[in-house]
Amino acid sequence: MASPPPPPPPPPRPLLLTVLPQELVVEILIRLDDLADLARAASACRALRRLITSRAFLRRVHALHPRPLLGLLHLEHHGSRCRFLPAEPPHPSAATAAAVARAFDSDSDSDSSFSFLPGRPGDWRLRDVRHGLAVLSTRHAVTDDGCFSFPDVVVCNPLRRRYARIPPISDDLAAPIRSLGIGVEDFDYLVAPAGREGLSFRVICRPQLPMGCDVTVFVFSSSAVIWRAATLHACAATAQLVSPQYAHGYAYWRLIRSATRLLLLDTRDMDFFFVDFEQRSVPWQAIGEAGEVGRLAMFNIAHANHTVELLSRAIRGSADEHWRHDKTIPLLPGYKWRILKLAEGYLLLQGRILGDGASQFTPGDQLQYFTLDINTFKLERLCASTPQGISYHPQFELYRCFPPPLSFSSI
Amino acid sequence: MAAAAAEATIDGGGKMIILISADGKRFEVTEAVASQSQLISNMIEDDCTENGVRLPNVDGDILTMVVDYCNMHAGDAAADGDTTKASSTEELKKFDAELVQALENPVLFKLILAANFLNIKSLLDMTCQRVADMMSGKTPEQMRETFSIENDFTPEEEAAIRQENAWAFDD
Repeated sequence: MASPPPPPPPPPRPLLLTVLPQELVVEILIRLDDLADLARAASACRALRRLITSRAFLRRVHALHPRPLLGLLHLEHHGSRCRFLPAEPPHPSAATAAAVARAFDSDSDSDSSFSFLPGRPGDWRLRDVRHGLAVLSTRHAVTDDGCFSFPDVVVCNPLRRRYARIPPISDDLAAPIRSLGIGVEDFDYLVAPAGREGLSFRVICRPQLPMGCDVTVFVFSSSAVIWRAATLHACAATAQLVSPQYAHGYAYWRLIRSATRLLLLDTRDMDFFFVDFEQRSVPWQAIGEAGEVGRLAMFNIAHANHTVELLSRAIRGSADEHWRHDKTIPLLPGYKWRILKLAEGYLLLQGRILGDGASQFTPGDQLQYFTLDINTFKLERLCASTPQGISYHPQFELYRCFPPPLSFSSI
Repeated sequence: MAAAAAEATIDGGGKMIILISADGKRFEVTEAVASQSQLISNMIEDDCTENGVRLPNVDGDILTMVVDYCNMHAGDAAADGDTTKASSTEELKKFDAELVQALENPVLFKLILAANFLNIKSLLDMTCQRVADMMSGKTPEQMRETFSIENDFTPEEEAAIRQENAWAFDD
């Protein structure tokens, strides 16, 4: 009779976790100041990973740490190339941002930060970024019969290197547009977090139709997994729409002809409405989210380039509600300022140091990027770049999110 | 530590109570000192400290540290009382740092458990912070080594996690 096999040696006990009950391990972990320490702790063993990525723990982390502004994404060639400019010291997120930049750089061979997407690199155009989610589309195609096909669309988290394919818009829903029998020039795409804690998202798609056509906007909800459509019948007020933006649940566009109106779409109720404003030249004006939910902010560079003034109004105010002057914020002297973007809780400003020489920007000049916090009105330097060419409409996205595994995953 | 207990007798002049550790060691402290433990404070209020307070979860060597800590910090707790005995802030900081700095992990963890059981918030804060500081700046491998944590990920899982968390790693 064979002797019974010796009992297997007991596995080494995870000391930290067997001695201390879970709630005390949590008390230790929550005291880690640096988000990178938490990410590394979550890579040590299963138990720590489970604890750190639990909803309850992440809620505490998110309550203690502001969502870090990691830097800027600079989109070139209509979004087919993208460069990450990390927040630089002494910015409070600089350490995390430098680490994130390494993750982006490890992709630089492919000349794209999205090499994990299916298909050939270069197939995808980055269209919009919000809360760490990016929406990308393929180039659209106009078919031989003069009609068009919708681009393929993915939403991804570039840091998690995960993506979700967005199902195509059904033929039924697209029928009214197809029945026009005209080729679509291009499509606007936006991505926005939705639901409590941003556990789901919406994708907003608008075919760019010629003036005089109905305006149709499609909204995809990741929780319901359906596309819905809203149509605004052509009227005198519907001119060409430009600069798609998103704030507090509303997608909105500027109307190019009647330059003093915005067309807004409530992405939950799917209804359209207009808001009027007093127009200023675009590089010195931005309209978008106010610090207070439900309000629209308008920032103007004023007083011969020395201040930013903030006006606001209720998004769903009465038609005759006036913009209220809320604040005048001084800018730093010695710069030529322009406004690039209002998103993610910040007004993004570009400052060119005023030298003795040329008054115009020349390639090779350094540009400084600053953010103005829309709640605290703190002006903070984010990073710098030295563009090699002149771009009159540079496209920047603010990249503000908890890096994995510290974000709630909606993909 | 008899010296600490003796000092406590002179201190404050409040009513004395006896704390009894799991291994039967007895510590005589003033109510003011012992009240830094929310657990004992509640017992004092409920008048059930007459025959000594048995602490079956706390060994004598750990309770020695806890009593030292409470004696040292009695000044902050009773700031409106006799402040001449109260230690200066720098002294306290030095004392606290020395208390946790030299501790081996198993002892530090026992001290955390005792602080939690006795409900002494400032001691729990300090000891948890000490462990957090020991984790800070370490790679997952170094954390495993420091705290005898077993790596229970499969190589595939570990590779996937490293890729997802690439931003948090230097290499």
